[in-house]
Amino acid sequence: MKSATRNYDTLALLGACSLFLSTLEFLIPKPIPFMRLGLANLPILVSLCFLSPGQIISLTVIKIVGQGLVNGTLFSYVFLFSAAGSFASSLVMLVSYRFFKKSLSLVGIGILGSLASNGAQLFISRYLLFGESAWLLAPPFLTLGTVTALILGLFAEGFTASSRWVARQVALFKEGSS
Amino acid sequence: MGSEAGCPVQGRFQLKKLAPGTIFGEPKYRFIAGLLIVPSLLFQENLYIKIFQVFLFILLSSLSGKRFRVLPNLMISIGIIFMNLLTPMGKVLFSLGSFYLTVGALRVGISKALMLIGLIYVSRFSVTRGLSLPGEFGGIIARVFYYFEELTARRGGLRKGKRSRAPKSSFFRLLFGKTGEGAIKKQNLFDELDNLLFSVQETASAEGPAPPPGGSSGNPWIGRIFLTLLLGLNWVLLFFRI
Repeated sequence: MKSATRNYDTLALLGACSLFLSTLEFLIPKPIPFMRLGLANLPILVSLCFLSPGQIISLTVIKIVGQGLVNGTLFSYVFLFSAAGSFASSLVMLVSYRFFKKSLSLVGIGILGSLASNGAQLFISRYLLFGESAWLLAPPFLTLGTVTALILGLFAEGFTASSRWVARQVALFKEGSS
Repeated sequence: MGSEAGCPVQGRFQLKKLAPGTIFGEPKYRFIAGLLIVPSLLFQENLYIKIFQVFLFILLSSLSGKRFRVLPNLMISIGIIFMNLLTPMGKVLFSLGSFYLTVGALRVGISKALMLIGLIYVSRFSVTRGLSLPGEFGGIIARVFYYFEELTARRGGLRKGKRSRAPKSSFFRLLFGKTGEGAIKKQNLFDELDNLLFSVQETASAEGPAPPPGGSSGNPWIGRIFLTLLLGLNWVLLFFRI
């Protein structure tokens, strides 16, 4: 299989995983509609070591559209929150992986991504929905985000360390970029 | 498959496969119809109509050759309903210590479970291997839905005739794995996930490129009319009040 086709295939598989995790997350009751556990970020976190930045952004777009479709929020303000949070999280995770991968584990990168996502969502809710009282949401919002990011980061760290599938993708990525 | 037609086989049901390109339309139209049907399922508030929609898509998916298994769907539904019962809402039916079983939470749980099962079967009915969407991103999106269907439907690793690498892998088994013999232990969760990713990707590559859209010599308008009627029915039901 050609390198570009293989990359698209892997991207699609990770996109499907994200879509599935979005479906799963939708089923968990939440006090605020845009509050998320971030399960769908897991494929993005795992793929940092073998997808290019452009592909990570494509995966983020797939995740956002998939979440919108699955949750039925594609044409609502929740979609805006989802998009802002996802892009902020992906960008921060990409930058922190690129520059600090030797000093930060996937747990740390995941937590930074979660803080970026929640920060972006709080910022939008301050200006679009709740006004100044949006900051009252900050403590529980950031605490929950950090706890779930910690758990997802531990999972991603464990999986990438032991996974033959991830090792193969890394090898293929190196082979394709050399 | 022909010998299994219409008969329950170890909790699985598979109806006689019909020529999908003839009756259910070409892959592209099926996909578009599926996408347009999703909102009618998402925004449906009437529980009885939602049950009807779910059964309709299970039936259509089975008629188009996809398998339906009772037990995994039942386990998923019970899991979702239980999760939602933890947030009490509305009239209390009964209580057990600090646990309250409420009508509102039960309704929300059933509705969400139906929605998940419905979305899966809409997806299984509307996503076929012959699907091709225009442009590079269209191609990736079509592939995403193909893999989504594979990940949720998979039970026996590689398809029949090929050696299974992951005998019982599926996302649902990973999440709702049974206890006792064959249960997923914490330490082999990563292995199971690994096997699932390998087997799904290998099956897709082994099958090669998708066949050309259509796949049928029959009149394409039969399928298009059927899909239009199906779409119309689901949207009419959205505004229907019982």
